[in-house]
Amino acid sequence: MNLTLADVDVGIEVEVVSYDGEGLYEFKFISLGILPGDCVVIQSKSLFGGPMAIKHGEWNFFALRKDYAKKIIVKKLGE
Amino acid sequence: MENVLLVGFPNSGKSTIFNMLTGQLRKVSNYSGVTVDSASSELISNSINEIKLSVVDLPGVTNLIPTSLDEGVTTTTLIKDCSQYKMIAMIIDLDRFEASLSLLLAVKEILNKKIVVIINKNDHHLFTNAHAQRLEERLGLPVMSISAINDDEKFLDNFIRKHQNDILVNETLQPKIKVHPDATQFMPDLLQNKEFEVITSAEVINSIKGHQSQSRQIINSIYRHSTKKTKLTEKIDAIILHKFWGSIIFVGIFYFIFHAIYAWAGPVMDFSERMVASLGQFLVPHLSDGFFKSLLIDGVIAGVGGVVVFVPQIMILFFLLSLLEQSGYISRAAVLTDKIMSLFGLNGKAFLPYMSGFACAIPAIMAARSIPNHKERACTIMTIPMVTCSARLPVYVLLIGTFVPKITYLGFLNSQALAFFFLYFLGSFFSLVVAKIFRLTIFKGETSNFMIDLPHYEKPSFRFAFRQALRKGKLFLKKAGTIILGLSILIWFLSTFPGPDKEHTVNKTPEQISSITLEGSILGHTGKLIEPVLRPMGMNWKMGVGLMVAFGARELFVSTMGTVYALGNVDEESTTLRERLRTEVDPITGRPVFTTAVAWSILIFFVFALQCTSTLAIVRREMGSWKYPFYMFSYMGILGYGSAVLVYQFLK
Repeated sequence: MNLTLADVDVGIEVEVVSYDGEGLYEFKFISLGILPGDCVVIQSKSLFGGPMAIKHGEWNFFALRKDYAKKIIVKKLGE
Repeated sequence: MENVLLVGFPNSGKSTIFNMLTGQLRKVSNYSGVTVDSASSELISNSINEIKLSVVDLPGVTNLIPTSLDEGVTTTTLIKDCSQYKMIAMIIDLDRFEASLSLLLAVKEILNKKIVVIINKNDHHLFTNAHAQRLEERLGLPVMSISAINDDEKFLDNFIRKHQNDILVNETLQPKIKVHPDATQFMPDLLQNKEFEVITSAEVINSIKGHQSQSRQIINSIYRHSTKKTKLTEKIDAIILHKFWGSIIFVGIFYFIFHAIYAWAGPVMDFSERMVASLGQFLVPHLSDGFFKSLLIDGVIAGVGGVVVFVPQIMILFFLLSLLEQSGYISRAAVLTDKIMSLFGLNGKAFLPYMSGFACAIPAIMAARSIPNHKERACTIMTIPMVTCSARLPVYVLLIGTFVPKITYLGFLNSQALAFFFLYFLGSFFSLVVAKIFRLTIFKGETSNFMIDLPHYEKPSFRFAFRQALRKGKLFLKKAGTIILGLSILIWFLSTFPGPDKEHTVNKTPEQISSITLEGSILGHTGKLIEPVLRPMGMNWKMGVGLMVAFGARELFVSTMGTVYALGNVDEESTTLRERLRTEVDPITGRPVFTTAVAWSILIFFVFALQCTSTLAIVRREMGSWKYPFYMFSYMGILGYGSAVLVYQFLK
């Protein structure tokens, strides 16, 4: 089982490995500049499994639904 | 006339730059997807320059391959016919430097010669001239940096004029983009093989990846970001997006707005009401009795004046909303509401259209174009008109201010503000409930996904917010001075003619004559004709007349009440419309006509019923068929009538 962004706790920094699912997801993430090898930290998670806010790199912020976060395969830093 | 296209990421400040250069006031906000259609306007400086330029504001895109109709507009404009424009001004967002520069690289690949680069959001002067020079060398394109919210337009104007002069020949090469198969549906005006070529998704992704990494390389070699703003945004978001506190703050902010409308506007409104009333009283002795006097006092002043007094409320609402929009809070609100939206089968992106619906359903329905999924978009459009728009505001303020007693609960909750909040809530909540019903029946389908960019927090400019508020106030006054004035005069005619017979007016007081005139008028007859339908809602024919007229525009309810009650009432004591409503007595029973039950019945009817012809027209345009506005009108009408009857029967 791959570790996805949806499984990561708030405040832990992870590295993007690849994208799951159809090309459309990958297309969206890449267009916004979220590339494999980038670091991502979860800033907050909303009530009842709502969207999570993430910090990408040093200065970009995004929010995405859990279903989306499940498409981003990540690994813990240093693994 | 030469055209300059503004192209860039969503929320990179294209519309702010457009407004700055043209002096127009296009809606801007610190939120993605505000611009959904192109707009074109001449530069302010055209009056003092020989070369006439106009700028075209396009919807923001993250790449040239569209995933929705609004993004398709941008790609189509760029590719379709490049003799239509002289220059492309690429707007780069300094806060998302890498990603937005990669869009520039993609555009540069197909259209090399016409581009100039504008680095926006340089609010703290971190991107210096030395940086610009180095970027210029790397790209081989002219570069300048500005802060569109702080800087003067002259600087930017000169830059554009200077470089459009340098572009001597129009690029003749036909540009062609490479897209994946799914994107073609969003560019209906482009031709395969001539204007685009279909390649596989993997190839598209690789090319975007290439631009992204190239962009990073360029930036790393010339610029270092400051993390000050990032740190602040992180700190604020820790509270604003907090699981528990975030939601409380959300409700608090919106309650505060409604409270402010009441608490702050109250004194101003009382003052302007008195002004309107004393204007009428001032004029009375100077005019000779007759139709002209009645037309001016009862038609124009009572009708238009009744509506004009709501300008303060409208300005306060838009002042506060503008502060919120500028700060970057709206995207956070979309995040906080996404879960609720998803329960109703919608997307967090529908939040912006619904939010705009509080101002007016017309721009809101257009804003729904940023929703990629057709069924979700249709469903959003069909339910937006139930969100309380500013045209309902005068009706709510009038009736709540008159019939809801002022009580303070727990020391700070004001009963009138709560009633107001409740009506806003009711409209929004039912629009979501109906959306859910639609999603389960006619617009069945999965909810699409939600991903949104969270901009850095910005200190909102009060000056900018004030300008926005002033503009809304002006628009409202303009409407009052044209449509409402015209219709007020028409209503006066319809409620005065064909005048009573001489024999009926013998030995009657002026008050009785007025009321006989009104009852015998065209409007009175029509009102009486529909009275049986109105009875269950507790309304009499006078209110029915108001409701009928309100189908033209909701504010007209207030002006009609003004005219109708001014005519039927010659009592010198009650000069304001509010007093007139309160003192209106049923001639048969002797009891007040406007009871709390009646007031709530009218309010509830206004919450649900679609009384706006412009909305019907725009829905027809957006959805391409009269079927949609027809259904919309019917379901909202049934809902409005049904609930008004229920409320009246229950409160009676």
